[in-house]
Amino acid sequence: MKAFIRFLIVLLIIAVVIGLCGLISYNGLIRKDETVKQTWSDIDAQLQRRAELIPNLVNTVKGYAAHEEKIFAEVAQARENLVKAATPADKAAADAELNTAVGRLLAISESYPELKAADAFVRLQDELAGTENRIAVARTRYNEAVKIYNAAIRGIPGVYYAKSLKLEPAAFYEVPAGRESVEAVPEVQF
Amino acid sequence: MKLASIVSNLLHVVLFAALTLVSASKANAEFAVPPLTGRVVDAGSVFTPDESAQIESAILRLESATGGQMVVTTLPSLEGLSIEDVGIRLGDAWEIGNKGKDDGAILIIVVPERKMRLEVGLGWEGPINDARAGDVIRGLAPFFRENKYADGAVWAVESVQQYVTGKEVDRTVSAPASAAANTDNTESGTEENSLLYTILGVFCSIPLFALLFWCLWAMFVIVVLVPIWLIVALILTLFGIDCPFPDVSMLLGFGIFPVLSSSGGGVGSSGSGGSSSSGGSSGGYSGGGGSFGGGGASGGW
Repeated sequence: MKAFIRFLIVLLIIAVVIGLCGLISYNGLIRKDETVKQTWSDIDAQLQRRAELIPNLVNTVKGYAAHEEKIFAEVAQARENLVKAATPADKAAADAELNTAVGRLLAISESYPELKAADAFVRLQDELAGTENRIAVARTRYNEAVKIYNAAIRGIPGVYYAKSLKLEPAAFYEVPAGRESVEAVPEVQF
Repeated sequence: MKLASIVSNLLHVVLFAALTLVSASKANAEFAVPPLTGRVVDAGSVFTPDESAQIESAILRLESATGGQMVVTTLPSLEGLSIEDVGIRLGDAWEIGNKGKDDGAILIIVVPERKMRLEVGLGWEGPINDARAGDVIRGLAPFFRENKYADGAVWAVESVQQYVTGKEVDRTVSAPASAAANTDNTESGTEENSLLYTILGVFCSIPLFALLFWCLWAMFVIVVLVPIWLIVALILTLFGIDCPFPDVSMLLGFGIFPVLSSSGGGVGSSGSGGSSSSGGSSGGYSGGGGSFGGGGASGGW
């Protein structure tokens, strides 16, 4: 009889252990999901900030090089696409398009020395470069969070109850190769 | 059970050695963040002791005027990374600035590569917007072209103080009269390299056979030590501290070693960027827990 009771106690302890495991794992999973959401909204905020800088940049360049209509149209179109994009993949692609267009816009300054030296233009370039960097940092942090979250969902014991919690694997924010940033375009030297 | 205890001891030694080796290699695989020895981290050996003291006193004035933190650092090389990448790694590792306020800045000077960056903490991105950071960088170029690195650093610290407080600062150095600086911007990119858990997985399967030999020992661990560990982990989790919990492979593999690693494998830390784990502080000066978002400006001379 005694042996049977001891067996039951051991069984109970093991059940409690498994229960606690599950609880901690669940909390961890939720926290990782929240981290993914938060880092995503960071990227969004920086993309938004960049989108807001663009009109200023276009106007500054227009002040010196009014007849470069084609490039202004490209930039406007790319910016609109970025604002309309929803999923991480779409946003990354639209972002890359905007990078290329803005790169061409900045390259115009090569032919217009007064534009190149203009204070407003220089400051806008600073702001753009800073925002680009913030996007890169936000992107790294988001991808890191996605990696941790996906590993937790697909590993043990997350894989057992992730679906019932409606937790889907998250998508990475990947920039199409060769179009990483504005700086990929020839630099402006002073 | 003498054989069993010998086998288990041997396994523990092997596993522990493997773990140390693998985690050491992971830590050194990328750029090594220099330890935060003080307000001036002269890893690139650019300043004389007097110059370091001069820069430090400028930083102390900034600290008392603004309440924030600033560090001036020189590096011998960027080791193939972009200076923006290095900047955010330093920011994440040193945590300059007060927690919550994020009022910190780091000036990075890499003399052999003629590059510099002013990394601005999240809390100071308002007073020191990118354009102003750019102004500081452009203002530094004339100093650095004349090899006046310490004077430049002091000027930069005073400029930061001026931007943050909004009040004119008594300058202790004057700008040399030279042409405007070159600025160049580079992209940042990071790589992740995680061999750790492949190797751990291999080592974890060995003890599956060991379990056959030392059932009693394993039962002891599961029934006594693990619940204690779990309860502690649960309490810590409730406090918001991420903690590794025992999953199946860990239980089998490590017996009495709770593995306190900080990434991957179903256990994770909250996203804090891919920075290396070395570079803690020593000597009484430490970062206040401030965070960085990638703001600031870079340039060269």
